[in-house]
Amino acid sequence: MIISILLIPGILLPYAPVIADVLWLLGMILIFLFAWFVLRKWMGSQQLPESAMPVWVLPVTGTLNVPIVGNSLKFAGAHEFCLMFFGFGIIFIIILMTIIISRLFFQAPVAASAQPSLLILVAPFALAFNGYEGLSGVQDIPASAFFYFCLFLLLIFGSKVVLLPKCCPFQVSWWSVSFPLSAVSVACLQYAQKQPDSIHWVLAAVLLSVTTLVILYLLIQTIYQIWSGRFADPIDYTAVH
Amino acid sequence: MKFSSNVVHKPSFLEFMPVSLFGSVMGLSALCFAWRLAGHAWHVSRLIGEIIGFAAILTFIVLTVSYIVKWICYPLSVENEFKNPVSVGFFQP
Repeated sequence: MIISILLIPGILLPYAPVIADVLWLLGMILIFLFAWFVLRKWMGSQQLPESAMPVWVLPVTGTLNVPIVGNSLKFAGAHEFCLMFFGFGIIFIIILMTIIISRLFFQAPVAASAQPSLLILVAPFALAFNGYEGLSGVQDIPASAFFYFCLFLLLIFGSKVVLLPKCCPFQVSWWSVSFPLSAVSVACLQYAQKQPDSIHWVLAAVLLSVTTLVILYLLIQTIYQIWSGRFADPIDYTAVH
Repeated sequence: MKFSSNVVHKPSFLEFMPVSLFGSVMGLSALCFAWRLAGHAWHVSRLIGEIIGFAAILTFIVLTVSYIVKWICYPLSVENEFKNPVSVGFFQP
């Protein structure tokens, strides 16, 4: 809900720059309050090691979304805000990734229905690459490191997701894969612009096609489920009623 | 629009609707950016990106309205999603 408010200004920017600025500022304030609230909430009560799910990166992913659109905004101070939220996100994602990866190593495997959420882990590094390149304006070694690490994670978790439609029925929570896939496509297209060899362009084209097909599939499935009224139960950790 | 017309017949969809559906707005927005970049790189129609962007904004409005209605009709369900340490993360998208 909040990251959407940060991304929609990017869509509106060519049409209504003032609305885009206002929405982006609103999103930035909300994301700050929310990240602050959630991180305090997690520290304020004891958490079970098993509940360290990939979803946990979302509050931090949120702060990394600030520079994505913010880098194209022109008003004074926007750049400094972008730097600030990039700073929050980039350090915290390394800490959180350690916790989540250690959960994946040492605890029981993630339930089949929650497997698509593993792909969420790819998004922060795609955003880190886009944010870093936007802020620094160059594609140097750190930029490449973020980009290739994100591709490597996609290779690890992407292979699990391919098997998914066979093991459990469609759930709307599968939408959580749409953003990581799109974010990687954006990163790859941007990378290929400054590293314009055929391998990167082909990779960008493949990623963009796969992402578009996956999102079309999700769209059709969701509309069909709402239409027929046969939606699956929400994943276990949201089912409380 | 598709949501509101169905809600009348199957009121349980609102109660079910998880906040994680907002992930679709994020996915569509980023897909819009990707197609805009592709438009610069390959001379594919710019219109594709703009249509996806429009769909993202429309989805956002529909979901926000639906979720507010859910909050009014089933406040407990929303409260539970917000109190759960895992699903609270989904309020972020």
